[in-house]
Amino acid sequence: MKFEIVKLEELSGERASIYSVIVNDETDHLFGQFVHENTPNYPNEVKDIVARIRVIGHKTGAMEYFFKHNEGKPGQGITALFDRPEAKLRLYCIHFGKWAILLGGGGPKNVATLQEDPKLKDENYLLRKISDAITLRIKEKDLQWKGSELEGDLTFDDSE
Amino acid sequence: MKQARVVRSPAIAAILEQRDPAQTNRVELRMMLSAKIYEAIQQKGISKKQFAEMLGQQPSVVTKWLSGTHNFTADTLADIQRVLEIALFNFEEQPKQEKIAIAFELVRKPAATEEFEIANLSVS
Repeated sequence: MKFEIVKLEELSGERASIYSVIVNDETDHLFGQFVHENTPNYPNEVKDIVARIRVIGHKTGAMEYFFKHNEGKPGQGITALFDRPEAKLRLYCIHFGKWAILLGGGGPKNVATLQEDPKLKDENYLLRKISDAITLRIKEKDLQWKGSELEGDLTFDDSE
Repeated sequence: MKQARVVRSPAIAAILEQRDPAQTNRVELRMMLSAKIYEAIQQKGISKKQFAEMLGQQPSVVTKWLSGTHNFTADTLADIQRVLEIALFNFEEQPKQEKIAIAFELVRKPAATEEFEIANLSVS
């Protein structure tokens, strides 16, 4: 699998950098695909999610309580953007800190556990893989944080 | 060191083009309130659980308050600002702004000089 970390122009601002990932040769990043897939059936929720992320980037930063934590293994930073019980969609993210998040994918949440939903499970586990790869590269100093900017080797290929 | 490529998504651009100003404003206000409350809790040096107890609420209720999605009532905000000793409302009268329109003509003075004078000045 190849992927590239990209920064989202529309949503990043002075309070936080908003990243996502382009996987293999896809034309859009994971969050763009989430928006495209879910807008037909859940237009208002998608608009709400996009609006909230824009506020995170421009006004508040990625406050810890805007997310539900521990959606992956300890230390992976996998979270879900906070969704009320009546919300229909779940969006997975990597929460680096108040200064930056990386948006993954997600989808409709129909069942009680992650393991029972193939789509959500795939999106969650993909983000876990991405988180581990980023962590390793930071440890090896091929990636670093400079303020809210992630710098260094931002393309990954696990076939290498 | 190289920074991330900045990209635009057609799907996101389409959503942002359809923004309803009223809804955008509501989302922003809810999140900014949550952020302000959370920062005040931290500055006071109390835990989320202690804050909940001060207000006679369950911690899960405070989780919802801080999530950035909650539609607060005025009573709840009044209680929160009292307990945290912060101001969430600002009732100071803003000075009224007045717009005035000024119209005038610049008329070249007689005797073909490079001097002008103001004529037909009106202020409304």
